[in-house]
Amino acid sequence: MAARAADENRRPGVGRPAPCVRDMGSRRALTDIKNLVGVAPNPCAVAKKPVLQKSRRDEKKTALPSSRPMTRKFVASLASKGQPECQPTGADPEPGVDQRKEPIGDGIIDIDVELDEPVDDSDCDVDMGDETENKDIMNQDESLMDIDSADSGNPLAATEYVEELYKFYRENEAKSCVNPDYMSSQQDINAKMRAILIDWLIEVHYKFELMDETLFLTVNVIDRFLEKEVVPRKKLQLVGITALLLACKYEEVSVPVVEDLVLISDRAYTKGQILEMEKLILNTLQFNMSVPTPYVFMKRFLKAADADKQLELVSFFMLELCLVEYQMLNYRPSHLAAAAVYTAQCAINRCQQWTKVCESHSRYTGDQLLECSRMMVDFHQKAGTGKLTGVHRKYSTYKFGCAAKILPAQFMLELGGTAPPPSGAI
Amino acid sequence: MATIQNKPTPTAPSTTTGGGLRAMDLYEKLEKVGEGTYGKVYKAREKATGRIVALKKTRLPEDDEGVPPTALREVSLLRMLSQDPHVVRLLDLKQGVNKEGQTILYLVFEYMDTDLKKFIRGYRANHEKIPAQTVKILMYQLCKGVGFVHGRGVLHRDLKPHNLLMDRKTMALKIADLGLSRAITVPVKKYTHEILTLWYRAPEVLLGATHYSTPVDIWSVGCIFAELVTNQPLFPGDSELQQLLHIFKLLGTPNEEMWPGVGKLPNWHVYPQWKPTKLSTLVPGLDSDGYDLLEKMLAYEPGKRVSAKKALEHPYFNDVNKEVY
Repeated sequence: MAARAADENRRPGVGRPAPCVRDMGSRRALTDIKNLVGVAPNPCAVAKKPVLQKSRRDEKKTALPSSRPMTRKFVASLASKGQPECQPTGADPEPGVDQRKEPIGDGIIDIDVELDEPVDDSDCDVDMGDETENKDIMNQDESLMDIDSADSGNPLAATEYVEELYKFYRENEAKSCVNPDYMSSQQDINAKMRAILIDWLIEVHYKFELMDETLFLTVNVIDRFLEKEVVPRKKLQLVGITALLLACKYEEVSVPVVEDLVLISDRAYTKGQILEMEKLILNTLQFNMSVPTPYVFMKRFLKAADADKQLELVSFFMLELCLVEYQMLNYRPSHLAAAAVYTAQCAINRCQQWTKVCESHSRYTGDQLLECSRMMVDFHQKAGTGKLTGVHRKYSTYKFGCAAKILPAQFMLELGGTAPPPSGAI
Repeated sequence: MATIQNKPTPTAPSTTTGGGLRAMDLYEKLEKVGEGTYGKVYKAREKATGRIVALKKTRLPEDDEGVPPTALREVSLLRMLSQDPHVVRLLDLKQGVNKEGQTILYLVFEYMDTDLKKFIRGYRANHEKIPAQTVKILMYQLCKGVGFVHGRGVLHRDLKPHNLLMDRKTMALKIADLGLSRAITVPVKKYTHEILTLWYRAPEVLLGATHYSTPVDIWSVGCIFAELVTNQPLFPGDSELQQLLHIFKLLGTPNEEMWPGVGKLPNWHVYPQWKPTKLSTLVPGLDSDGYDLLEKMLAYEPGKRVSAKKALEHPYFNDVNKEVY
């Protein structure tokens, strides 16, 4: 492949050859996501999030149980009916073997919405549903509101700038939001198609082992673009992979080459089409990629919650469930992040918990988060069923601490209109 | 041709279409003034208004990888940072096609008549020292600009005299060339260590640290400070190893006592043991406050290095008219 990978500071025109599919490691070309189940992991790949509990299986990197790939079979069904056909899933191909399907028509993605088989959870024996002791009620003390003093000597924490930085994020998060009703302006695509696209992109992001912030920026770019441009359904996946490319260029140290994106979309688009779409997206968004996403707020609120690895993973699980849901565009990034931490705490501790420290740093009370949190509980309950289970499968792996195995905080759904004072609050 | 206009107002730039005009129909190139991270820079005149601007040009070859990450970051970050008086203003963005059919991206900046490299060179050529108060004013603006950039969650990662634009008349200084910059998240995570021009590169980066933060820019600021005082680069190494040895020779070879964890950095080896030289010997011509600030900027341990924000409060800047700058 003559494609070139762009390192973070590589000048234009200087690159390195992209490895072939079997050698790609963390930058593997995903012609068909299913092809890679069982492929030996790249020995150099570093799991970004360590597992919660040690196990004999820790050494083995669990492959993501895979859904159907997005191919071009979609055109016949979507173009005529506006509803995708259910296609039976064939036997798994040999690992690493390119099983690319023949293109049919000129459509782009197989937005097949058949039910996936339930994920086999048998290898995930972490019981995350047990009640844990409530954390000691903290003293209502000024010093406890300061979550940064312990890091004052750590330059990576940027403690001198952190308050100013989050003030700036708060002031600017509205600019990264979209009209939550933008889909009504689209003639050929709908919220369901958006969900299918994002569910697939979550798998692609996982397989490419990209940074968390890249995923959130990708979805933000997609939504801001779709708000401004009417996109035909056959170009929706093109928008998605190009948004991923742009997010990688902004966030990643090492950027996947365009040829890899051609391959993961089953050659539905050419390299030229991706680069043209890149220009269109950048012009439409006026090159504005510097926007606060839920990710930046999540990092802060997890610190305020004094989160351990379990809380971090369950919170991100809740947050990623929301990425797929169009209705969650009603909430600001900071609101989603706060609600994700709140919901995760409720699920882990089996009781409502939102301390004054969390409230102070998030600027949201438990009451304000309750509506959003209930929606997250609802998504959590349905996460392993239905047609779009990418997030659930991802968080059912050991790499992500089997966070999807935690029992949903169902009691949240039974609460009255306003939340009682959180039990862990001050 | 799409256009982004960044007028000096608080409102967001608007996108308009240039009705098929090529960028060079809107601007008249006057002279080439340099090379940026990814293209040539020209002094130009806007035909409609007569305004003098700087045009930074980059080609986007169709057979390549599209918009370079450096260009994407620079434009995006400048749109966020351009409001500050100590960051160069991005006025406009033009995308057009040249005669060969290649897509060209033009970044239109306010024009500044010199940069700090040329400014220092002028004094050096005349065997003169930059007046102490001028050094102070320039350093104050630099710290203010860096503090603003850091407060927006951005590392510049290529601070050097060439990337600091100046207006000779007003002595205004502005940070430019954000081609190697990146937005960071807190806590900062792993980034590439192939950053920064060698002479201004922080020791943690030279020693292979992939987790680094705002102190890498402060080290560069310290090097620039010394260069303003002496008209000579402080650590002019010609390879990564030579650069490290230069630093160690002057500031002393670091050890676990003065920099906990230094021995665990990827590129750490057994180096010759040098004792630190007094800063007053290395950088003659500063007062005691100046030496104190310089020492804090060139602290080995990144966590002990002064922040730009704190530097602004240093007694060295007590006599700067802070309302003007």
